[in-house]
Amino acid sequence: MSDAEKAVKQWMTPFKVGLFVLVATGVLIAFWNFIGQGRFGKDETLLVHAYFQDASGLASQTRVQAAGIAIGEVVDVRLENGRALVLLRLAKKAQSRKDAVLRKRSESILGDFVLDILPGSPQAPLLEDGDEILRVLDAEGIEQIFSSLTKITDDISQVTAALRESLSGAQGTSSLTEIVDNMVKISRSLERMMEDTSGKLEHILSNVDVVSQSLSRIALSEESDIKQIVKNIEGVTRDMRSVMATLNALLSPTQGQESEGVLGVKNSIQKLENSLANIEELTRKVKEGEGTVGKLLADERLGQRLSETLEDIADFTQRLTSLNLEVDVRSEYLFRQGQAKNTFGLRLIPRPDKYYRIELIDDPRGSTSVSYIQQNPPNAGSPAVQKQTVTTDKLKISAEFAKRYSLLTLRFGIIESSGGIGIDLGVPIKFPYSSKWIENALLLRVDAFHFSAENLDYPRLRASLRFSPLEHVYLQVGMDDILNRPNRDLTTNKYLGGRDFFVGGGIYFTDEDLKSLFTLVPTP
Amino acid sequence: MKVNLKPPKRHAWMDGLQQGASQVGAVFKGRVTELGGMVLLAFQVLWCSIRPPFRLRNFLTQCEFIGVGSAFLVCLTGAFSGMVFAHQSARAFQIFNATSLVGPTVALTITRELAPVFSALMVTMRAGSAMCTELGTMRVTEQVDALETMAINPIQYLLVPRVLAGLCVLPLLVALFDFAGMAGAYLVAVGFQGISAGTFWLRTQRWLEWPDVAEGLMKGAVFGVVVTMVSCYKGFHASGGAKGVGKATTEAMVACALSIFILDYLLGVLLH
Repeated sequence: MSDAEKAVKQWMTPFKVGLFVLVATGVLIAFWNFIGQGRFGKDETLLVHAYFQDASGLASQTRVQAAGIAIGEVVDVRLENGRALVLLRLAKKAQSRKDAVLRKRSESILGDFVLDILPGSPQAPLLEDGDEILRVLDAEGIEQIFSSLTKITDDISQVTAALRESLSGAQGTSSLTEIVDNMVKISRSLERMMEDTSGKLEHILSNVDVVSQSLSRIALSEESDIKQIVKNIEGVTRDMRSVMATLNALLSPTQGQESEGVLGVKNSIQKLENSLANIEELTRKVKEGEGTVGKLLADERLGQRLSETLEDIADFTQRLTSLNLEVDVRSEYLFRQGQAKNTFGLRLIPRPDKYYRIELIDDPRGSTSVSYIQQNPPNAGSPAVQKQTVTTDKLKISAEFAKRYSLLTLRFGIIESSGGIGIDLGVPIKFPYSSKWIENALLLRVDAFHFSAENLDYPRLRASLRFSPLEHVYLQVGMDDILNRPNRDLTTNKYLGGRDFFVGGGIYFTDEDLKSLFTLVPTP
Repeated sequence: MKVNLKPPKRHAWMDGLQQGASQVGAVFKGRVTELGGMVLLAFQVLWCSIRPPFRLRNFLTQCEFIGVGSAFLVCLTGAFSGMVFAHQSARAFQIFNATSLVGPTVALTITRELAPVFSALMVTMRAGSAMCTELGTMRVTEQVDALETMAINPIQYLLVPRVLAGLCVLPLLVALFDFAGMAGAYLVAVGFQGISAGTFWLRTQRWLEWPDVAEGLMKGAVFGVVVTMVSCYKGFHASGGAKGVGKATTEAMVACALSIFILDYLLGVLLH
């Protein structure tokens, strides 16, 4: 192999490969350009949208054309609020306006659709990126067109079939002949009638002409009579004037000679004048603020007070009507105590989410107070300071404010004559035998009070479960003074304190008469 | 107590069943082993392709062999494929009076499916078989062993240029197939079937998108790697003299064709 052949062989392979790559790359570039020519680039287009009731047949790349020339394409079709949102990319150079009309049109029987756009009026502003084409015409799909055509064809077929049936055969031919004969007869009759009535018609017209001429003549010849009529009308009006003057004379005084009727009328008028003068005087006083009514109307402060008073009255009546009052009477038997505890309570409910409770309690445990007695000088053999615990049997008072949160109620205030808090969990139940829900049919109630009682180790905690099988009636079971140990006086055997079980019941009802007494209680 | 020590009686169907099961197992084992070997070889090729020495001349030689040598064949195949497809689709669309759709139908079919598959098959038949035979002959004549003796990595020297050439050249062949196919389709549709040239190109422009062309090119690249890898693997592991080389070539052709069609389906699903 010569050097030249070696050199050729050295570059031939890379050359062939390079040529191959160039050709193939050129083909790819040609494809790229070819495909790109059919597309609408983002720089030279704007993205707009339109809503269609029926976007069937529209898809991405569906052509948009104006005057048969493609100026854009559909970018996307999606459902939005039950309508089809069609995103379009339109060439800017097409200069479509905001009042452009978009129409869906079937392109072929294969179901291809194309969007025709009428660019809009030159006065309207140009469409901008993101605008909506408001004027949209949903064209009938090819299926609907075929359906309509089929119906029309069916109708025509039925008509032609009916005609064929009625006109076919000898009978049909005779019917047709008869129809033609009748039409000939009708036309002849019309012709005759026109001939007969033409003379009469001319006569009527001549009569009308004569009447109008006569009227014209009368107007000319009887001119004097017409003038006389006008004069008569003038006389009548003159007479009317004189009658009115006479009446006026009768009503006005003339030399003290007045008829009885005229006098009566005059008296009445005089009284009316007096009354009017009184009214005028009265209104003047009112206007100037004199007298009670005048002050009432003229004094702004008084008016404002009156307004406030009326508002207070309205507020009062509103509270009166919205306030509910519940009376609660219950009795519980305390087992260790061996006695019953009675309670009379009132529950004031201004709003469903809050209430006030006032209770008078007859507690057999009594009210215990501790006092310290210091002997000065101290007695020999006895302590200088003596503790004296006095238990008295007196009524206790509870006054609580309660706030309700759904099933939970929080209470605070005075419980059995000491500060305390409480919490209720009430569940409404609808029993099969009852037609309505019973509120707090099952009520878990926990009270904590007597936080600083000297004769107790711990605060007095009471828990009870209340059950209302019927409206207005309930049963109750629970434990009182849960935290403290039972404490009984050894000498009197009186139960002084400590946990004690109780069971009881009560009734509650709303009292409309009582509630008016409590309407003046302020509500925060 | 008397114990029966005679083996249980064997039936002929039992032996047949056992033999059949053994054969199925052997075939399964063989295929799985081949697949695993091919994957390992692919990793070796990948590893060697990024390590020097880079044998550019070998690579160019293989590009010339696979690409330049197959270009005419691919163009011819593409042209006739486009022609026959245009002819048949025009006949079908004439029924609906929708011959304007011939252009886009042919374009989409060629760019997405026909071009990569047919180009890969052409390369398989022409270059793949030659590769397998060449490597098989080198293997049975111990030339590969000689390379190893000379401290030349046979994978880097023989396989890497072929696989890389397949990867780079097949997409270009696909592009040529696209062009030739569309030209053939245009000739038949416009020249013989009387479809308007404007309609043909306008409709094709409207429906054909760059992703369609790119899909074909991507498939071509994958097929290029698979065809060269399978051919090289079969040739590289050939044994049994000339007969073994022939057997390896046949197996390589079958495996390549099957791989092309299976991968064509899988890629079609994955890309859409």
